[in-house]
Amino acid sequence: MHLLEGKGVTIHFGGLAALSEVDFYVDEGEVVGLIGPNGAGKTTLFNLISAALQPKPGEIMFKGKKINGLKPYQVCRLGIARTFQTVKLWGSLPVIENVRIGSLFGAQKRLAVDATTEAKELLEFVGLSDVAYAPAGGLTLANQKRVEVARALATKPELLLLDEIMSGLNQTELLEAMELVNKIHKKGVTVVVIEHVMKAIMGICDRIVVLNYGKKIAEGTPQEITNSEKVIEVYLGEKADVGS
Amino acid sequence: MNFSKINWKQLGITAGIPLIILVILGFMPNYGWDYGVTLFSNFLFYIIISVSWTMFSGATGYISLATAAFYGIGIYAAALYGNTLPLYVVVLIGGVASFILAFIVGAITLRLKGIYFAMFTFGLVLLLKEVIFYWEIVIEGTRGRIVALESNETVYYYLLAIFVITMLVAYIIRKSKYGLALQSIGENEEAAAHTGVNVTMTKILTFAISAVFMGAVGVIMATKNTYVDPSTAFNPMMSFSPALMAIFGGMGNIYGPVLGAVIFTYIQEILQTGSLKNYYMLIFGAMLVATILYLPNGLMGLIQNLWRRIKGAKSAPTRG
Repeated sequence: MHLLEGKGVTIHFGGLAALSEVDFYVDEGEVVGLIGPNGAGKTTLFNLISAALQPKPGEIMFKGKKINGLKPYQVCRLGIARTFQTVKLWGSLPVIENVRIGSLFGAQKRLAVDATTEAKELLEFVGLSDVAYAPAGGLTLANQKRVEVARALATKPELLLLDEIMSGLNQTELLEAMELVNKIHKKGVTVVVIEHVMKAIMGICDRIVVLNYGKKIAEGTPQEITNSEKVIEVYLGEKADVGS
Repeated sequence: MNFSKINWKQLGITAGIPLIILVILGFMPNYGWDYGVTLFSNFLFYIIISVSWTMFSGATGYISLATAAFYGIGIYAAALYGNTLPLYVVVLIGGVASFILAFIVGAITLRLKGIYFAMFTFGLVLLLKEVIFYWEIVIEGTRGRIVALESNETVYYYLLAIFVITMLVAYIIRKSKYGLALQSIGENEEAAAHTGVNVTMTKILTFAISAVFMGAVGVIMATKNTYVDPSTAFNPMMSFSPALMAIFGGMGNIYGPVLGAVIFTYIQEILQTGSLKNYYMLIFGAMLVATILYLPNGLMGLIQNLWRRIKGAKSAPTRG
């Protein structure tokens, strides 16, 4: 049984098929990359998994149980957490409160005291202990993305969906972010990442799924993807670019 | 709870000052100052509705204009049951009826955002007014109802009791994890939903709880007059006043709406009895515009800023 499995996942926005009949799976302990050109449907797929949107038709199963039809908070409490492409923090609240809300309302609800301890540990984990009491809105983009990761982890997910946490970061920040994903993976959390930064994707993923115009066009190990004619044609461009 | 961590000095301030104020307020009718009882009844009344309004709207940013509807429900509860049932039972009826109405209305409308929610809630006030008008005139063939009168002291003590409960509930909500959830909903609802917050239920329940106090206070205020009809019971001003007072006082702090309510009520008292009585709405309007332009966090925000400056801003602000 796969941890997460989608069958024939389809959704239309108006007349446009944002995703059509996408089959996918994620196994426990994997780091799966989701790549593709802009508008390919990557974030839409995250929205479907996290129940912000409902597939029509299609079925999404988490640990063998159908999750489409549930509300986002229910999916979160089942153990699927996510971050957002455009950061969605509670800017006026202190960083630690942002994380605490995850502990208080997530998959394993905590008492107030335990939530504070857990939030502190997670801020340490993502390297933000210094700014724990600063308003989250005042942080740099890189740090705000880290707060989102900490908040998502605070809900105690088994599956974490990371939507472009590495875009807009400089070289140092990028390496730190890659390191963070590795650390999360080592904690035993299964991760799906959407990313445009090829170096990062190739470095951290066990398996990659490629979307284009709402269809899955390829799937495989980083090696297979970089050598796939189809992927090179629609997304990666000339072979020489890869990994540079 | 780790009791050894309790800061007794802070506890003394947070619990002691309200207790002293409460004792002073409790003996108010014994001071022989009749106007004081009426004035403080008004203070308490406006504090109750603006604090209960802030419970929901202040935290979530959903501007509710349904206050007059719940208040009117309370008034009509007093008109229907005030002659037959003891007052405290009628107060409960008013509160529970408002809770139920708010729960249903919340379930239907809280998926609306921004101005649409404000418009719908205001529409509810007008709808109830017209429906009851229709009921009275066409079906019953009457207009308005008689309400059993209560003494000023009784009204005062009931208001004081409701005030205490309102403040306690507001305080508990704000300090609890649901207060945090409400704030997260106010700032970014989508993120809250994906972080495990049952957004819909949190909103509906808080909306309904805040309505309890509006309904209960309506019952009490109805007994100050002998007659009610739909236009007085569902007066739209009752929807705007709490919002204006809360914005003026500042919604980032539990004392903001209290301060706003007291100042507005007092100004209202002075202006309405003095030579400026025709201009008081105008002055209110000007004050409000000035508040929104220059004090986005209300009076309380201004006070906190000053306080921070006096203290030398030792610690970074935790709340904007």
